[in-house]
Amino acid sequence: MASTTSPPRSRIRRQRRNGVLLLLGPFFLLFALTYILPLFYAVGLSFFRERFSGLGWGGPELVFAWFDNYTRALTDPDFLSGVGRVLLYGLIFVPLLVVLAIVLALLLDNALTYGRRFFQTLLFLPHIVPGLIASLIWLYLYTPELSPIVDAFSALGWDIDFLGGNNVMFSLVNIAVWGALGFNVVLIFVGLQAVPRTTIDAARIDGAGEFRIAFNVKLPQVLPTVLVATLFTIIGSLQLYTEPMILRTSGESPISNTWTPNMLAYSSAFNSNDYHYAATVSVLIAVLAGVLSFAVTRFANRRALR
Amino acid sequence: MVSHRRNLTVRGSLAAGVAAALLASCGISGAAEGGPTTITFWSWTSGSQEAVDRFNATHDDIHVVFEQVPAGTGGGYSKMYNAVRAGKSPDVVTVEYPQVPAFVTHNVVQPITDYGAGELRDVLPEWAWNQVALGGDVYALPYNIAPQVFLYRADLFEEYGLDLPTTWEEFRDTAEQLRGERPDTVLATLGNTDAALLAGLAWQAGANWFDTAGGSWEVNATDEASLSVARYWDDMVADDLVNAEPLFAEKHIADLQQGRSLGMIAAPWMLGNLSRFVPELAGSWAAAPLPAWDGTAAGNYGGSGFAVPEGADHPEEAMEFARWVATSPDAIAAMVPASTAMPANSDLFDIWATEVEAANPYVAGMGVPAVATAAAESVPPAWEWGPDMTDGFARLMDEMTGSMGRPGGLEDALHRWEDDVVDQLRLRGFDVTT
Repeated sequence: MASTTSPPRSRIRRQRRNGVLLLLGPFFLLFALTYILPLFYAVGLSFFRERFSGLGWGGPELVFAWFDNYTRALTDPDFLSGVGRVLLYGLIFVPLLVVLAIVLALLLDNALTYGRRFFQTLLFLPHIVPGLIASLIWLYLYTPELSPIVDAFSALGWDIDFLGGNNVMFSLVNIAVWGALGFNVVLIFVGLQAVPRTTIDAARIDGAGEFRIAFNVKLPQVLPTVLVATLFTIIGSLQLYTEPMILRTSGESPISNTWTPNMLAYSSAFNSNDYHYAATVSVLIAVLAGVLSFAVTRFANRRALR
Repeated sequence: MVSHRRNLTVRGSLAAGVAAALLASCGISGAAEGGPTTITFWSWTSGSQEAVDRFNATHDDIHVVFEQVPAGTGGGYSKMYNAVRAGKSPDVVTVEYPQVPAFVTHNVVQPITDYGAGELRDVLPEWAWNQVALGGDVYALPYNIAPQVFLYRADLFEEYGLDLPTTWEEFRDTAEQLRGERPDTVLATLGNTDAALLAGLAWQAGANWFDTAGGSWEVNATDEASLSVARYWDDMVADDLVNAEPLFAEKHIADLQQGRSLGMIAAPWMLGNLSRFVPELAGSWAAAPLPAWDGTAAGNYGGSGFAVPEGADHPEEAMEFARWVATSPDAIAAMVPASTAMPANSDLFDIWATEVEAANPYVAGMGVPAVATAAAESVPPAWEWGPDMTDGFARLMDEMTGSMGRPGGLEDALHRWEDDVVDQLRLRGFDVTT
């Protein structure tokens, strides 16, 4: 009798399972096809190499290489200095971006409503510009004898070379901050909007000033969002590619064809037709990104527990 | 000249008419065999589409489908490698000379020796033939060459009372004279991101960076010829006698427009760029032989051939198309409005000279064809390219940009580059000697 009023438990479970499959299935299918499968393929590729002999007219021979490609990468000055560069870049870029994003998001959260929309849009605008276009625009602004900025500095008696020497690192960070700031501000700002107004009111009644509310009440509640933003930014900086590639074409910068690990992977695959080495470099970058993400998450969790 | 062009059009439509008539007379038998053989052609060079259209209009046994691919080193070559690997080879592709050895060592192209490529040997410059004949076989059919010439602002040369330099020594003297009189003007702009230009200059001086005569890759970018070229340009840049910067970038174009840079080391294909970037300077340019070290010689600075990928379905038809482009005056006539590149076939030099000037008012009167024709015959035949020049050029560009104009900069760059290239080739198993 009960079955006529409500379906049996097993059927409910089956229906729920079907629902989950229907909703998550397409994602996991695509994820497996475009992410997991290529990852395994890359790992597979990295254990082989093509070996030429003599002048090479006879063509290459595919050989199982064990860890040869990994040894090659870990002793390759191009790879090692590339990793060093993206780490340094991340070390400058990530804290700068996160701090700026937090400050601006807190300001937006505090500001009067009419100003908020305007600044939100203004900050978000650069995010709409693709990295490639942004790099071209900034390259123009960095190039001596073309750039109004360089001219302006020069008129003030300061001859600054944005592209040469070590400056190019900061010029790259500047492009990245310009492009990524708006998105991260919005991300954190949305988190701030979700902070219950009651806690803020309570703090205010207890006599907390705006600064105290911002840093002791609001900020701790959006830390998870800040963490996500930080993670994405770290992984993004390891994959630095477009901006240095564009600045390289200026002929004014020390950026080489293998300046970052991703550029090295690209060059191996598409210049030298050496997919095995390219796969090796990519796998190593993925491992590095994994390790860094893990470390950041662990660090954040421990802090949260305390 | 107009009547000449009309003639060609008449001839073209006549041929199309004949083709149509033939097609009609073949009638059912042709249809039973499935009509014309369709081949695919991958290229990015200007004029390709025009050549294909003309070929299709004048041939009824073969139909060429043209597919525009990204410029070779910008992704086109990669696409070709992958297509061959995936078993989806096109029938014929464009390959630039520096990349021919890489295509051969990766087994991406097949020998075309058996498809009658040898018949063209006598009409091609010896050095051009050497670019495509590797290890006892021929792997590409040259159709464009790029002997270096010096392009200069004839109007300003006259106004400033400058003599045309014929040797590199005189070139420096002229540059100094100009610098003394007009401190904001240079004699020439040298592309500091263009490795092929530096290679071409070493080629002119008699170097051979990748000698295979001994049965291994003898890499030598640091012979006296190459190093003296490096020292010469280091000094020129350091003394502010030439600008070293990317050609046809905003800065260079501004310099050209304002008459602050009077010349450049060029090849015929570059005239297309010139007319596009500084159309207002029409009529003010002239071509001269490249200044020489001793005797007269030019290096080569570009050019390409047709290659047939491994696994191509119709290699014979592909070669028939390639041969038509490389030998037919009709092909030249079709391509000149879109491309100023020089044909490799010496039988076509005169026709090209007439056609390219008729089709491009900007080029007419510069005297490029005559200078380039003489230059083509003077290119040293010994030069060879290495088995991974896309990477090689990228590395050389990095070395050049960072060091040009510093005392001993280019010289060091060549040393570092040679070491780097040797390491890379050894890592991949090639037999290398230095």
